[in-house]
Amino acid sequence: MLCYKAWLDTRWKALIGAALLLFSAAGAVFSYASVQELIASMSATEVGGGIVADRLREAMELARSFRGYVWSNWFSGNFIGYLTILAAVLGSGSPLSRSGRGLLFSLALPVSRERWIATRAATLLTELFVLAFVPSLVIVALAPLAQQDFALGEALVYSASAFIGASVFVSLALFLSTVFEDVWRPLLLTGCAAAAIGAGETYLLPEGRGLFAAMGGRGYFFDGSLAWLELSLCAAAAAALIYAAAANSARRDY
Amino acid sequence: MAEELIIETAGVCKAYRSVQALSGLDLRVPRGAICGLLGRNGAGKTTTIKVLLGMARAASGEARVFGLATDDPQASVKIRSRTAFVSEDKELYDGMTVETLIRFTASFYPHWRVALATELLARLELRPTATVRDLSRGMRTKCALLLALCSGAELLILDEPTSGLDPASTEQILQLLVRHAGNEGITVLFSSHQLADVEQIADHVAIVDRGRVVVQGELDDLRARYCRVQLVFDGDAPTVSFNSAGIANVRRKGRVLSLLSSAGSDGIVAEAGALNPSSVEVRPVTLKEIFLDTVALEN
Repeated sequence: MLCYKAWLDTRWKALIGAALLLFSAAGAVFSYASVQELIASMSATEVGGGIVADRLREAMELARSFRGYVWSNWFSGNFIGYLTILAAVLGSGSPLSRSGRGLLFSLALPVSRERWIATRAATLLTELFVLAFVPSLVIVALAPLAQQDFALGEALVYSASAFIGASVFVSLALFLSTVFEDVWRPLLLTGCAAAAIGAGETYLLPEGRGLFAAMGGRGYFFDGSLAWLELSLCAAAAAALIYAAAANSARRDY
Repeated sequence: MAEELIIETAGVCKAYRSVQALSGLDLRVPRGAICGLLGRNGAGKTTTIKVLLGMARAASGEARVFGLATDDPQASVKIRSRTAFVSEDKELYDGMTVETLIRFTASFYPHWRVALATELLARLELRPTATVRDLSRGMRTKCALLLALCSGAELLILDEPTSGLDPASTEQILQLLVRHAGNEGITVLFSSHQLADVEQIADHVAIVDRGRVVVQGELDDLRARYCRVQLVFDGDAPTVSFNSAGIANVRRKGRVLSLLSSAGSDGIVAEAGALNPSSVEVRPVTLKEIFLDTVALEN
């Protein structure tokens, strides 16, 4: 029943997120033809210079194939952006925060605070898992309607990578929700952390390294390798943040 | 034989930042008692309840419920599996229906009373399909009480159970509480500002002020022990100090000297004889007088 309560608390965020991802994934598939026409009318030299221009040039090049287009536009583009934002939104709000109704009722039940947080974390990760995998399945299912195809196995690899990466943000938001009473500061701080990681990755790390590169499955797309180091660190960081959230809740006074 | 204590605290202190909420709280509630926890706003009643339920940890001292330490997280879960709680704000899950909330709560209590839940739903006129957020304060209180009574708990802790209720709802809830406690032999600790509520249903009383228990015991015993001795003099009442034991409060106003005693009147009357009062009157006191005089003395 704790899972049911956690689902009730987060279901609208999860359902709205799922709808957003589904429509976006479908849009990515059906916009392929028009994007190709657009690219055909542009010259790669019109793009200019700089890191962003390099990325744009690479995307234009990749968009010549459906596989490349879906990966650059969706799996390493909009998808990981949306999933990061959704992870922050989902994770914001602890079951034991004063901002939610029924705090004292929850605390008076014969349930340890660690179990409350662990159940919320498990529910959030399940929702995130569904959000990470369902759009991929939609892309594979809709591709034939656009006279294209996309390998199921490859889509699942990208989804798994995105899920593991996004689990860091959902866990960070959950941890921050045990520190702050409102839902806005955890959301804002998680967003800031994601932006800082993204900026650091773009300007400081070599291309293809870092959390977002791992979430997008860059290595797998180009040479079939997975970013095991980054993904392992993400999983460890997520576990540590969930543990910290449980420990922080357990030591607090209400 | 010493009575079994369900709640026992010794020297419990608790501060929230600069506010000292409890300063050496010694509370004892025996098995089967209906204990009214009285105190002014900010006296420490809610903090006491939070410490007992493991929601807040004491900085020092010891608190035990069912003989288990409340500051041990594992013991606290065991305590809460045998305790039901109704908070002052009657906080429940707004998004759930009454029926869902009952099912949700029942899943945590192995001794959940299914038949009683059905009976109380009808008796309290709670609509199972109503959403908690749509319930009035009175209905919310009834719903919270239903959940507490049906949990099969051995200890009920209620924080201001009748606050904000109309007299009819108050009466209904108090009657329900008394009947259930009588039938099941459970222990009840309830905090209240309403002295009339406490006098109506409690058999034990604890008065808390500034984070300490200043008076506690069986209500009948307190009534028997406490009395007011009023001495009237021909001129202004003299400024004297009495040596008799148990003087809780002394008030001097014009020709009248009024003493509240917690140990009968014999000693005071004998001592007062030397002062030559024109009249001596001994009368029983109400709980309200005990409360007001004790708290006034403390302040």
